Amino acid sequence: MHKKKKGIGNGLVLWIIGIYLLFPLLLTFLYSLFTEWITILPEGFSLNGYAELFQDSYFWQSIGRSLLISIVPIVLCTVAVLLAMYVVVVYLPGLDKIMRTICTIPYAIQGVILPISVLGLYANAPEPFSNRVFMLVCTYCIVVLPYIYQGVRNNLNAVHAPRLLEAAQMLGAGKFYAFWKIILPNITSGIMVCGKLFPDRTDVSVLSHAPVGSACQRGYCGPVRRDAADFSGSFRTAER
Amino acid sequence: MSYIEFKNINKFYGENQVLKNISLNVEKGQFVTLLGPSGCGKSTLLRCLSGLEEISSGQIIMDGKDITDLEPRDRNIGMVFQHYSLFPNMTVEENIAFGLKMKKKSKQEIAKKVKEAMEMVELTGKEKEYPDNLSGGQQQRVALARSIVQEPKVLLLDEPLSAIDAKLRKSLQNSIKEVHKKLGLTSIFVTHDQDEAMVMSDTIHLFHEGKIEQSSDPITMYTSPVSKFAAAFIGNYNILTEQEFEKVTGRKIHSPEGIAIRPETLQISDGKTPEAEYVFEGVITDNTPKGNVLQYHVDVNGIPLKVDVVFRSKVLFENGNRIRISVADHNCIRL
Repeated sequence: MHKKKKGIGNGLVLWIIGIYLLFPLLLTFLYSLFTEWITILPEGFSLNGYAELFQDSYFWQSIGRSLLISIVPIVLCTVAVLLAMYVVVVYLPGLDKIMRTICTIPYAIQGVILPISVLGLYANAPEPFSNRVFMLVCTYCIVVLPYIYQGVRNNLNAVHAPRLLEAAQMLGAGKFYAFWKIILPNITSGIMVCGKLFPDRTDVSVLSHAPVGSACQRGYCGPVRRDAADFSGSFRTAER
Repeated sequence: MSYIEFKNINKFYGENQVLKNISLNVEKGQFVTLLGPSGCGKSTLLRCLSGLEEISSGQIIMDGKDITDLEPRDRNIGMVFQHYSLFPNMTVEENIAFGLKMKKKSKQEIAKKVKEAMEMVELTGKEKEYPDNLSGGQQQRVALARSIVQEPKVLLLDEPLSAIDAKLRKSLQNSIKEVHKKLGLTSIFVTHDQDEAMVMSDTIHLFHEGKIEQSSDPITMYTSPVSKFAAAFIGNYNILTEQEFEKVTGRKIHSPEGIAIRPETLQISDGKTPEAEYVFEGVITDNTPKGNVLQYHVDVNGIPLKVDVVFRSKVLFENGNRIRISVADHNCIRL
């Protein structure tokens, strides 16, 4: 069989898009290495900014929190949805409609309403429910749910999961084994794409700023108190 | 005792009964076809045998053992699906080896059996390809190899050729028959294509609305349909009521369920009076070339008839020609 020849044009297009996407990041990085950039060429090369930043413990804490808050909800939600979809696909296909309805409810909740509701409900609650990071992770789980669910569902449909499961069963595999060893590897890339799409939602920034925002900037990520000043501040942020 | 026995099988989906008290036997080494239109229950019966569907009532015996409540993996049955159902993340080799790995066979044994199976379905050289890089026919060959490599007691084929183009279908029909003969497998084939059923089968079970309409060898099925449905489905018969038959031939016969006449048993002539029990005249209204057969549509006293003749280099008659048609009495099947 002859392999298709890859045209030069295809590669060129990819390079142009790559440069277009990386260009702003590259310039920002360059800008950060110089103290002044008024004329065509920058002046005053310095790595002091980076040295100070990397020595600041708040910076590393915020990086850690950011990673925690952005990765944990997606992982948690994906595992939960996958387990639920396994049950739906294998044993109870009739429940798919109910699951779809439940999972798409968060679409209807605006980013402004959700944090206010969460703060109202969990402020003064015992730990860990009133912990800002815990609260945010759980809230993100709700927001991310429709994206993950839709991603998992579409990918399961695309690979014709029930057919593959039946084929695997006929070859001697158990249902659970077949789901995790055959279905999952075929839908992983699709789920990853859905997970990456989630942070693009504009109300996500509102969501994170309201319960955590200013307090965490000051290094405090402990429990939310109803009478605390940052609580009313959060309301103001959210209302804005 | 037969190798496979279906005893009074009933299957309901809610209120809808798709299998109605089906009882049939399959002998060891036979190639059996379940034939019928969509929704008649043939695939459901196959899936019940595979264990992918539970029956509502009845019993399935295979090789003297009751397998009614066994899991699919415990039945040692191979199945080839209509849409191939190959695992996209695995190579051809891995797909074929999957069942053997599940049975925890040694690596050497797996490699040997996979090689043999690939040779049998003429796929040598495609071991490292992924299913997406193969044609429909090649994918179905992989599916066939994946099933036979396990050495199943029974091979089930659920419309395996319906998604494949006509030319490839012929070649795959031959491959399936060769594999069946070589391995001496008991095979059950599901199709809605009567020609395919005729070519492939030792025995055909014709399904209609959840019941078996007729069971016989292909020639008997074709020449002696037992009902109007069998005549219409199998042989593309002309089916006439008693009144219509009298209008066409001018003679009465008794057959309350109707009379079936195969299109190729009607003889056409333009002049001479042919020798046969029934001779009548008609006008050609249309003609349709069907490969090596030319089908004339003839109007006989307002009754439309189909008449097949072997196709020759030029059309013998044209639309509007008046012709004589004759048919022997033994070709007028009383239903």
